[in-house]
Amino acid sequence: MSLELRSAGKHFGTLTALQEISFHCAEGEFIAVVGPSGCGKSTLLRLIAGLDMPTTGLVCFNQTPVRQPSSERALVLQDRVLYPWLTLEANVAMGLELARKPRLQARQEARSWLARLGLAGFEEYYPHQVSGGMAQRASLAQVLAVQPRLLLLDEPFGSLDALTRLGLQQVLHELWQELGFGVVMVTHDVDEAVYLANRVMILTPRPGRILTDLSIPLSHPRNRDETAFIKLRRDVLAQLGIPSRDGVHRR
Amino acid sequence: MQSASSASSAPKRTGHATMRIWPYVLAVGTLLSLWQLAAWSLPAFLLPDPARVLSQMPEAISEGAFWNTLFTSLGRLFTALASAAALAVGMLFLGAAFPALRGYFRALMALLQSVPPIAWFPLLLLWFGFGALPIVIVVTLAALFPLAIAGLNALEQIEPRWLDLARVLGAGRWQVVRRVYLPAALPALLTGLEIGFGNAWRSLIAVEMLAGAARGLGGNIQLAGQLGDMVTVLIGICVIGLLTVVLDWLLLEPLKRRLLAWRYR
Repeated sequence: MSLELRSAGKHFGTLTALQEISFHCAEGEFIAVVGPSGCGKSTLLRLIAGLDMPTTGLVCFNQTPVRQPSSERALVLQDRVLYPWLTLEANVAMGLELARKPRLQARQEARSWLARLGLAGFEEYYPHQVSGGMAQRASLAQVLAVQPRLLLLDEPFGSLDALTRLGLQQVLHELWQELGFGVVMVTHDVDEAVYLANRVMILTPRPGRILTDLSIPLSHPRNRDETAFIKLRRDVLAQLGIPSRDGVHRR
Repeated sequence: MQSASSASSAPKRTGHATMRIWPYVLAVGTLLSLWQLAAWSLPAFLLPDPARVLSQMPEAISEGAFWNTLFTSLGRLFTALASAAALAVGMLFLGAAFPALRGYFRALMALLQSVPPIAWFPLLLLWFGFGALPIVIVVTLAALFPLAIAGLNALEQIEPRWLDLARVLGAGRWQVVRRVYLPAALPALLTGLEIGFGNAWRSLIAVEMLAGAARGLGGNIQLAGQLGDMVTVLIGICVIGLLTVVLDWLLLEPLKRRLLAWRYR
């Protein structure tokens, strides 16, 4: 798996959402993208997913330009994406059934993905019957079931409460280590970015450009209280223009 | 689990139903009172009173001829509803796959809808003669418009993220239609069917009254009216009213509960 963006840009009429975005994501790499609201982070994911085409430059996956969506590059949105008319099991089986797997096999695989994400026993529930955190687990199961090589996450835990978010970050981390897919995750949560990613990319506001591409050299499992972690988080916040209270204090 | 959940929500539903039934009881009472008041002030050959009509109803209903008439009408009604549903779903299929067609279908439906379907009847009668076909066509048109327009509107209002998700999961054009557009449009389609059903039923009676020679509930009422048999006319009206309630209750509600099971959980 390799993802490469070469001077990719996206304009909507006169508005430039993204400009001159170039980076490479290697097999199994975890990149977090942070930046102020409206810096085109979601647009970036849509370009990589193949849901939108860049107006300039290129998005290449495995050395081939991306022209349409594919289950190799699966996108998870923030919330309310499960199909409300399908049970959790049927939602997770959807991608498998679209790939014309026999129904029984698809359903069985779906159940095991749900179990893996801690949703055993909730197969027959409809999305509106479960909590936001459970729905987001099911969303992850839904795209993981099609075995993507690159997972695109658009603020996947943004609408969840703090505790649920920490739990799901752990789940995502374990799945990433175990399954070895690459990740490009857009997030507002700097702590989450530094905790999970190999690299944190900071975008500028309108038009979105890569301001910094910061590598996070900490080994896993990471400790949020460790000095090195706190320093990296402060660096990212400083790049975003948010002076940290620690810094003021220290001076 | 399925049985557990339906058992737990069952009492709530019946509670709801009893609460809803009172307005209907009152409404029926009001209509019967008005009828009775009118009957007191008019001679019996113009308006027989409710007691007389209702007491003759069991006898009229127990005749074989009545059931023949009833099934003739219901047969036409359901043939027309099925044709309208097939046409509407076909339009939805094409409209979902080719967004450019949606505006066209909508314009077509809006234009045709401006003409009451029964206005086509003389033309259809000339083409197809006195049979079931012209009746069924008129009733099909009556049911089609609300169905098609509700469905086409639902296509426009679909959540874009549902479409994106399907494409990410690997769906092709027709898979998106079948697995996202149609289920997403189903609630609107069923609402359209409810309205379409009402339209179809009213058009059916009207067109049967026009097509004097054809049998059916409408034909019966028309014939009885010409013979001055007001009891039969009123029995016919009562039967039509009752039947609407019964069909709604026996067919449309269970259909909705079955197809939209996820909404009732």
